[in-house]
Amino acid sequence: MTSIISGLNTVLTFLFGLVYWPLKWLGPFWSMVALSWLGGMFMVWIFGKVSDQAAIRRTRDRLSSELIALRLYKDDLRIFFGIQCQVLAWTLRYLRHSLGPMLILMVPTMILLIQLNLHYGFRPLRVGEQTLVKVKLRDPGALGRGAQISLQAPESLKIETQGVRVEEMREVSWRVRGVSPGRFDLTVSDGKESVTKNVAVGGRLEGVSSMRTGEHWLTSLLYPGESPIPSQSAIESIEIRYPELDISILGKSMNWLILFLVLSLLFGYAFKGVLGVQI
Amino acid sequence: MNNAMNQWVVSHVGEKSEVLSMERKQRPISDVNRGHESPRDIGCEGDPGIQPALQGARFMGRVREPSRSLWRNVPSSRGFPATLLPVGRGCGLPLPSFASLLVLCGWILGALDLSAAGKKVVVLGIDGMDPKLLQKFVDAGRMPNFKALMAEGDFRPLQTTMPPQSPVAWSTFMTGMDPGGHGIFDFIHVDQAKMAPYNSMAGADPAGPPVNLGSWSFPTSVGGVQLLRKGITFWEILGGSGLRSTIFRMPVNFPPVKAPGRALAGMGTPDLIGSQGTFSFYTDHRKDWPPQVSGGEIYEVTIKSNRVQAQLQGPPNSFRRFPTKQSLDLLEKGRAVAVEYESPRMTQDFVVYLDPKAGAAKLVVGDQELILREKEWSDWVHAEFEAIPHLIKVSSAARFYLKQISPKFELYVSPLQIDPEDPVMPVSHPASWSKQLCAELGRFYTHNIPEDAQAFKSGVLTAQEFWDQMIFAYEERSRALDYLLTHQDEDFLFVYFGTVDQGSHMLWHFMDREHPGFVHDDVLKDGIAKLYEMLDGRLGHVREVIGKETPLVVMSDHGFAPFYWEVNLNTWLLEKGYITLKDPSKQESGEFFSNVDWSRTRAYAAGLNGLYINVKGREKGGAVSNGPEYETLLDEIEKALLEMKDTRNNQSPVSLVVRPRRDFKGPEKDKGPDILVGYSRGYRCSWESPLGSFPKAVFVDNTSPWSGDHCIDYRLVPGILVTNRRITSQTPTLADLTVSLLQEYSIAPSREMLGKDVLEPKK
Repeated sequence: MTSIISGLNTVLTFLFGLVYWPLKWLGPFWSMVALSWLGGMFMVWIFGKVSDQAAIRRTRDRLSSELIALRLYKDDLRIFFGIQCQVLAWTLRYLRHSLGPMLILMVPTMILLIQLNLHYGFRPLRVGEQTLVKVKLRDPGALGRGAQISLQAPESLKIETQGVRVEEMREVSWRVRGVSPGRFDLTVSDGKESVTKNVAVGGRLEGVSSMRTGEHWLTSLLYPGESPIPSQSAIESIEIRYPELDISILGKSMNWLILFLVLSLLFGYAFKGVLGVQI
Repeated sequence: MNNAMNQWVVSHVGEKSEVLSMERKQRPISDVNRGHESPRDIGCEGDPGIQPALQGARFMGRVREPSRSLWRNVPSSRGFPATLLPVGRGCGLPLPSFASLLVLCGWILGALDLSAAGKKVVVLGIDGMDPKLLQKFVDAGRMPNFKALMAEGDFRPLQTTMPPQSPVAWSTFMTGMDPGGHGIFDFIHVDQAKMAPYNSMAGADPAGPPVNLGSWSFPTSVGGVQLLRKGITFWEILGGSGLRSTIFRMPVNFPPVKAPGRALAGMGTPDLIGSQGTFSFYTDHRKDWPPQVSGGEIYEVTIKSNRVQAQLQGPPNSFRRFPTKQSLDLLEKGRAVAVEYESPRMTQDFVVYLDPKAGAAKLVVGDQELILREKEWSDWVHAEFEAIPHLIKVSSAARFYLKQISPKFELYVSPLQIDPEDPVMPVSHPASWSKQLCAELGRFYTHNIPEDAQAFKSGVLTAQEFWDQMIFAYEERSRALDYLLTHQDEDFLFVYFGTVDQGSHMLWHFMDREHPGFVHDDVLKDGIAKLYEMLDGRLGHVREVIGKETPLVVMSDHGFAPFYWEVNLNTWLLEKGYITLKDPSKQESGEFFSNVDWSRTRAYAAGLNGLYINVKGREKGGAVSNGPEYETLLDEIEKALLEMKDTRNNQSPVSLVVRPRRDFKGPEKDKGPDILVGYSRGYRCSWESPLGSFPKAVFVDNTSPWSGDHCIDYRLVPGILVTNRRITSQTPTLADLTVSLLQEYSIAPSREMLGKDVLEPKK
């Protein structure tokens, strides 16, 4: 399962990278606008393909007529309540027609959000900026038994402290500082084996993988930026605490997820007619 | 109360040595301040265009307002005016296009106006820079940029105020008035009706009466803060003429006055809990420390499995209320009492994971994680305090210093700052400016005096740790100065540096072998000189950026002197029979005059230079009648003060007595102390006396690290005035400088201003 997800991640990351490549020059906000437009159109198109459009149209027409009837018979309580029941029934029917496609739609949406998180969740470390590298071990007793975990970094990244060992969290952390821009590999070693983790310093807005995780299907799915750490390794995960990417609109910071959801819904609604899709 | 008062006292008192050759002859302050020609004699009367809010400020001669003929009520400044009222309506043009045309014309004229006048003035305010030390370092070749500026223009000692305390002196600089006008006489004022001390610079407006729902409490209106200084600042007057200013950390400007341009509040700005800076110290060896330390709180923590769990103590949560312990105790005893409530303090949990082998620890504060080595400072760490879960949070920032991991755990946390990114109180004008600065420069100290002298004085920080913390604060200011210089589009720029002042207070005993607290330290003996050198470097940068044509003024509010001996003024008053204690056997105990028999007390000392008569109808337990009795008593005490002798060395500890009601001008002169005591060089009011305590001895050697001071006879601690202009007076004053800055823009001073123009126009 993990290897399938891993392979899928490679393909999806490559494809998303292709779409994203021409947009990255626009900066975080405008590239997000463009991706929201594409995402909104894509989701509406999928919705159109996987839903019974004729049934949805019929249901919506019927709902509209019931709503008109409500206004016409507002003085006749018996008929009025009868229509209310009809409205409720047709609403439930509409939900039945929409729910299935919505569930199907969740799959590409999740994939899209995971890829977006890779590009908009965090930004590369700036030159001179410091952060933590956190290594989590699989064995809860390893640190207590004196496991020696070391971190090696290229000259472009300065390791400022010794590893701080927190036994109760199975974790060793270092403070590092970006020295010069680029993409490098950190190497974490327990004396027997070494595991690498990519780190980004400076440069343009590009996807940064905050965590390299173990071979578990869910974490592999959520962190697609790097291949999983083999399950036989003593190291469960390596995380770099990158700063969150700041997307500002008129001086106000906004979370990328909220921005994407709002914009893609607006674009999707605005362009559903162009695609001939009933929502 | 005592603690809060302590913080005030400790925040600002100290000085330096060899005094320049000033006139030592005692001269009434009234002469000094009245010695100038009346402002009425300057400029022309009845100039038009005076803003109603700035009545008294008059324009002189050429006033650069070309766009006034086009716009009513619109100052000419760059950018589009905020309120546009086209004058000639009904000219036949469609209104939008006509208005647009006028807007465009106004804007172009405004721009042309600026390019024509282009007047910018830059003032560097260096708190506590001393003329004699400056000259000494210049002569030693350590301050080439000051030397160059002196050669290009001029240098004079700048006469400070009485008392020469920063809030007083800066208030005079910004308003051009003495304390009788601006109403700031000391760091601490006394509410005589309650006999309680309070912060002289800012006060709180209480929130509306609350609606209580069980343990929840909802005020019906929001409270606020209020600037207590009176008078109109020179940059408000500049604003009235359409000139915009950037005022960076001017003391006694919290909340910042609203004037065209931008301002960030400085000294007088509280920390998040409302004090003037309360640090926190966490240790597993609490017993090593006294129960209370001035300016901070010490918390006991325990270490379990190399883990420390602790809390940052935020401000009281005014949305919650719980019965006080005292009320509960009385209720438990079956006593029918009106239950009193108090608001619990908001807290933010944090965890420290220790790794003694690595000599470092990981701190987790909210969702932030950081690693500190032993003896290492963090950058700013954001902290949030939840008032109402998921609805109302108070944002703050603090710096952590991991002093020691083992054998003792010791962690210092700076006073919690009002977060400039999301300020809970108005630290800037416009309110968004602090956020903008934060985006450009990162978080920064916002409270009162960033340099944590209290932590050093109480032993929580060593001299070297204090130095490091002070330099961090200096570098923040320095970065801000660079930013403001390169983003300065206003007409006037003022930037304040407080490092020399705090460094001179705390490092004097390293350079002065005669000091009772002298400590030999090969590095810190040169500390004050290094601070001067750093400022010299800054001056060099400023000169490079602004060029020679821009008027540049470097000034300080006062100088410095050594603080060798403490004077327990209240003990002296007790010995002289002016104060009577309820229980003389408990002379040294009790807070803020709690042991004083007011019915038999005629005078008391409060604040750093203040002495009050216990007046009937004014003081809570007044005993002296206004009129002849009051005047006779003042004469008697004045004489006695000037005759005071320190029998240990046969010196006179007091060299000047000023009586505000006699010597000051302005409507506020009756609101200050009845006497201001000017101590001789080497002396200063003790630490205990301003707190209403009565130590046994009148004179005590000062062995505290707070070893330099300036709260003495004002004639002994002038500030500096260095400028690229010629100075026309041999004895310029702070009030003169205010007028001179206005004159740079051809604006006459207000009638209340006491100074005269002392800067020669550039030829």
